[in-house]
Amino acid sequence: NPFSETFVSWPELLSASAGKLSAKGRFQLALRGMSSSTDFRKYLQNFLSAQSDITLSGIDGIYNETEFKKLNLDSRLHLTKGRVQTRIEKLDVEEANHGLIVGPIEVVAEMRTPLFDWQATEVDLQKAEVQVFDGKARLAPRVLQLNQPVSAELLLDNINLQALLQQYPSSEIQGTGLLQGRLPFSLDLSNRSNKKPVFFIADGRLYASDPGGVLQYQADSSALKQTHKSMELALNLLEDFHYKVLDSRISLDENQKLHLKLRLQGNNPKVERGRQVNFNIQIEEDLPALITSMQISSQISNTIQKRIQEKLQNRLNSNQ
Amino acid sequence: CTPAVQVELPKEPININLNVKIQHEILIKIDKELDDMFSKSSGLF
Amino acid sequence: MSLSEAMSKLGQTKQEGLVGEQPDGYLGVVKNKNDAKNIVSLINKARKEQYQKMAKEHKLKLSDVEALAGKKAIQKTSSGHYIKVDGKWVKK
Repeated sequence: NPFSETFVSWPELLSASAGKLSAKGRFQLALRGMSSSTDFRKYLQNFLSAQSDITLSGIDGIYNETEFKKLNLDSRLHLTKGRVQTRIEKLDVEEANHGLIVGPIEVVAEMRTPLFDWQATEVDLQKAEVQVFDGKARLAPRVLQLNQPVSAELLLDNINLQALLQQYPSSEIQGTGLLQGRLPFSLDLSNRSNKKPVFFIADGRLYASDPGGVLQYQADSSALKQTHKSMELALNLLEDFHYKVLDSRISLDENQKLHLKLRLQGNNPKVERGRQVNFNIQIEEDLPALITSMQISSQISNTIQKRIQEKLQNRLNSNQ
Repeated sequence: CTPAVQVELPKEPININLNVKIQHEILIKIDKELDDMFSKSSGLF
Repeated sequence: MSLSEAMSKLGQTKQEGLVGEQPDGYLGVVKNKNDAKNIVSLINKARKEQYQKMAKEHKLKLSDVEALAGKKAIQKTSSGHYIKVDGKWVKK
């Protein structure tokens, strides 16, 4: 495809199938003062300057296990004194699908990258928003150093619980309600050498705004009720639980286990004559397994399916 | 007149604590089941 | 026509390009010749029963099972047979 020839370090997991790339720019290298003894690197540092505008429009493609549609980018690159200044006026993606379907995504940022030390990039993030579950997730504007652990906060506004539970790969749970949240996370890209970037969430909070909503958990295999007598009341209540309070603490530890401490207050009109109930539910979820399940059941392209099968295969082989 | 029966609703709420551990091997199993269903011998494929 | 009869004719019917696999996990009629229509409705009924059983047993949405089945069916369709891509019948 047209792109892979142009970019020299094209990550082989990235393929683009449609769209237009246009780039124009000036490139100057002042040769006076260049002598054989000059350290070429230092020379480039001082005398090389370049400027170019790069625009991408309508790009569809796949990066690793994420399929993206209609990516548009307006960016200005400016290289002087050995530093590349990239101004991302507009980067928006109509839809990204990593099993979880999100979008549109909007990013405005400025990046300062030392020519010979790519890792020490500084990103001045001015806007980073994504539409998800009929609501919005956004990063508070901040400056990030890519060679250090990045810590930021994901703010969630008006997340529709119904839309969220529809993407959750199980038919047993439905619900309504509008969620607000704050997820402080940290992401360490610098230890790229040994393994995938380490991502964890500490003391995140997700709660439903007034007037609350309904949670319906149909554990249709009634066997579940028999075996756990004590569970019977809880399961009956949760079949149609009208909650006033839904408040949860969220954390994601280094081995990617998601811990949810959920506080629910409300009642089930048909159980115990609608007596008030306080639930404290501790949920542990294996995030990678959840994402894989969502990927299997979601509508994503064949190439990603193959990558997932490979991932599954070596996961199955590894714990044989 | 019909006697008004006043049923005193217990005031204090029920407190329930639950611990839930979610496993996701299901979809991987079903993937395998579909493999068999769409094999030559199943007759449905 | 019985289900077992439809099952025995299915391979040939696909070979003749009368029926093809769809992303929703069900068979579709490509050319309405011979008894393609009968075979499709009988096979699809049997498939639906299987999907419902799987969805119930694994606590999954029927639509998820159907989507998974569709992906599998198209993946496993031998080249030269028909599959439906973006609403159009295409030879794999």
